[in-house]
Amino acid sequence: MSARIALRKSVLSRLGATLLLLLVTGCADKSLLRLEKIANSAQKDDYQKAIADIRKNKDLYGGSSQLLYHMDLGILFHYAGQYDSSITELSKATAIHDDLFSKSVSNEALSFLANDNVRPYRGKPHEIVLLHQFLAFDYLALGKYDDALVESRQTQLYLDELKRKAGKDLGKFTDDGMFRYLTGIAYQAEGQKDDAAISMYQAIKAYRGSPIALPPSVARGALATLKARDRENDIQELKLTDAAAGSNAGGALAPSDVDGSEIIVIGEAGRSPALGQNVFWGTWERDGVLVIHFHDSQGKEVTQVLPAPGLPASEANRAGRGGRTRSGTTFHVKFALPSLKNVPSGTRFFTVAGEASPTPVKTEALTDVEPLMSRFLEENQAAMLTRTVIRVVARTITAQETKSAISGNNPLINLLLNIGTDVLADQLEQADTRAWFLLPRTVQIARIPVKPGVHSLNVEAHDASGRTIGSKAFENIAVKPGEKKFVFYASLK
Amino acid sequence: MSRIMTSLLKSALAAVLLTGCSTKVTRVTHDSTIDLTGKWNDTDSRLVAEEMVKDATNGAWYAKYAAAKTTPTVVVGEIRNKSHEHISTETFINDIQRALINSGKVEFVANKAERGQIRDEKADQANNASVGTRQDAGEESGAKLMMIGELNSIVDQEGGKAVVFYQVNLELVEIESHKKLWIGDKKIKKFVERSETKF
Repeated sequence: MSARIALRKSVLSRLGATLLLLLVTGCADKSLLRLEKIANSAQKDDYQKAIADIRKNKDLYGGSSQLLYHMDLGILFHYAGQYDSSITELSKATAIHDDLFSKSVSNEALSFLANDNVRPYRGKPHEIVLLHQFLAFDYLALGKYDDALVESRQTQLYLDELKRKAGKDLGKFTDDGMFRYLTGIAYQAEGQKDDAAISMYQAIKAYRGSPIALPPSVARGALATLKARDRENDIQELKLTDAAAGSNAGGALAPSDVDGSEIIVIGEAGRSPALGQNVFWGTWERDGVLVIHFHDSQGKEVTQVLPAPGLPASEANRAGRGGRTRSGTTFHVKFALPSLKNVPSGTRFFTVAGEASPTPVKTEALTDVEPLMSRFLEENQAAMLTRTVIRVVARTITAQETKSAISGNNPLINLLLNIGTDVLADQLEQADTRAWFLLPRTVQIARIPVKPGVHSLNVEAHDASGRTIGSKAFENIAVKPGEKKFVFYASLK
Repeated sequence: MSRIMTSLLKSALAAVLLTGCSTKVTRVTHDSTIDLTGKWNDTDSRLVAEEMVKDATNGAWYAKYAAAKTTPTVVVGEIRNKSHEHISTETFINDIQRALINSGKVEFVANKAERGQIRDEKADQANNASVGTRQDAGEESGAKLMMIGELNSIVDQEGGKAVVFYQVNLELVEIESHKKLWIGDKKIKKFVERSETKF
C-alpha cells in the first residue's frame, strides 16, 4: 500500500513539475510586448509599419490569440485605407470567432492550472460588435452597401444571442447605439426606408441603455428620419424634440435631407484603452492569517492581513480528537486580475470643411471604447474572481503536493526546491490582459448633405485645445442622387 | 483531492501535448452534398439553379416568343443579397445562364460590368487593331428582358441551435414595357445544431 502511495506521489510530482515548466513557457501573456511593438507605430499613424511589425512578430499572438491577430491586421489595413485587405483579415477574424462557439473542455481545464491566457481569445462583446462594424465600414468605403448590411444582420444575430444569455439582467451589454445608427444610415442608402426608421428607433433605445450618452446629432438624425416616415408615435415614445436643432456638431440634417445625397465623414480618434493587471501576492497560513500585498493606484505597496479560512470540518474533528492537522501549514499565494490601462489620446475631434462643406462642421463621437471596456470589467468581475480563486487554490495545492513529494533529507536542497516551485507557480499567474487595443478610442461622425455631383472636402484632426494635429484631403468624391458616400479618416495620435 | 488533481493534471498535460493533426484530402463528386457549417454552400446554389431553370423553361412567358419564332435576349441585372451571409449570387446565376443558353430557348448578353470591359476593348481595337479584324462599336444586341432578383434569409437561433430559412426570388422583366413575365422562387430551410463543448 505504501509503495502505491509513494508511486502515486512520484507520478504526481513529476507531472506537476513538468506541467508547471511547460505552462510557464507556453502560457505567458504577451499583451504588453504586443503593446510595445505594435501600438507605438499605430499611434504615430504609421499603419504600414505596424502591419509589418505584426507580420514579423506573429509569435506574439500564439495559437490562442489568432482572433486578435486578424483583428489587429484588419483594423490597421482599414486605417491605411486598404479596404479589400481589411475585409480579408476581418473576415478571417469573424470566421475564427464563429469557430470558437464550441468551448474546448481541455483548454478550460488547463486554464484552471495555468491562467486564462491558454484559453482561445474570444473577444469582448463590444469588440465583436466593432469587428462587424469595421467590416461594414470597409464595405461602405467600397460602396458595397448590401455587404455592409450583411454585417449588420450578423451583428443583430450576435446581439440577439447576448440578449438571450443576459436574460433579465438589464445591466449587461446587449445592444450598441452606434451600430444601430449606422445601420439606419446604410438602410437609407439602400432605399429601405422602413428598416432605416426602425434602426434609428433602436439606436435611441440602445444609447439610453448604455454608458455612452446619446449624441445630439444622433437624436437629430433619428428625429429627421422618423419625421420623414410619419412615425409620430415613435417620436413621442422616445421623447425626441428639436432641442438640439441649433447645433451643427455631427452635421445638421433636416427631414428633407434624409433621402438625399450625403457625404458621411467617419473619424477614428485616439487609441482604445489596453488592459494591465493588478497583482496580489502573499502568504496563507492555514487556520491562521492571510497576508496580502498589492500596489495601490500610486504604485505604493500596500499590505493587508486578513483572517484565513478555518480548517475544514474533517480536520477540525481530527483536532478535537487530539490528532495531527494541517493547521499552521503555510502556502505562497499569488493572483492577478485585469485592470483598465488608459492611453492618453491627442486627437479629440475632427472638423470637416471645403467645397462640400462651406461652413465647417465639427464631428461628434458615436462611441467611446473606454466606458465599454470599463463596463465589461465590471460585468465580469465576479466571474473573473471566481475563476481566479479556483485557479489559485488548484495551483497552490499542486505546488504544495509537488513540494512535499520532492522533498528529501537535505534541508538546503529542500529550500531551493521549495523556492523554485513557488517561483514557477508565480510565473504562471497572469491575468488575461488580451484586448483589441488597436481600436480607436472614439468613432466620430459628421453628416454633410450635398447635391449629386463630384465634391471635395478636407478633414482636420484636433487636440483638446483645438490645435490641428493632422489632416486629410478628399478629392473627386462622386455622389449619385440619394447616395450616402462614406469617407474615413483615422488619427490615432 | 489527490485523485482529482491527478486526473486534472493528466488531462491538462494531454491537452498541452496534443498538437494539430495532419491534413487529409478526399476527392468527392461535384454534386455530392457536404454540409460543414450550415452556411449557404455549393449544394444550395445548385438546388436553386436546377429549380429556377426547370421553372423558367416551362413558364408560359416563353410561348409568345416561341410563337413568333424569336429567341429572347436576356441581360442579368442586379441580384441583391439581403441575407445574413456573404453569398456570391454569381454562382447560381452562372448555372442558370448556362442551362438556359444550352436549352436554346434564350440568349444572354453581357451584363453592365462586362459590357464596360468589352467597350474598353473595342475602344482599344479602334486605335490599334487592323481594319479587317477590328470589332465595331454600335453593333451590340440590345436585351429584351432583364433578370433581377434577391436572396433573403430568416434566422431563428437559440444557443447552439438555429433554423435558417433562405428564399431566392428571380424575375424576368420585359425592358420595354416593364412587365414582369416570370417570377420564380426557391426556398431552403435548414436546422443547424452546434455543440457548445468539445474536447
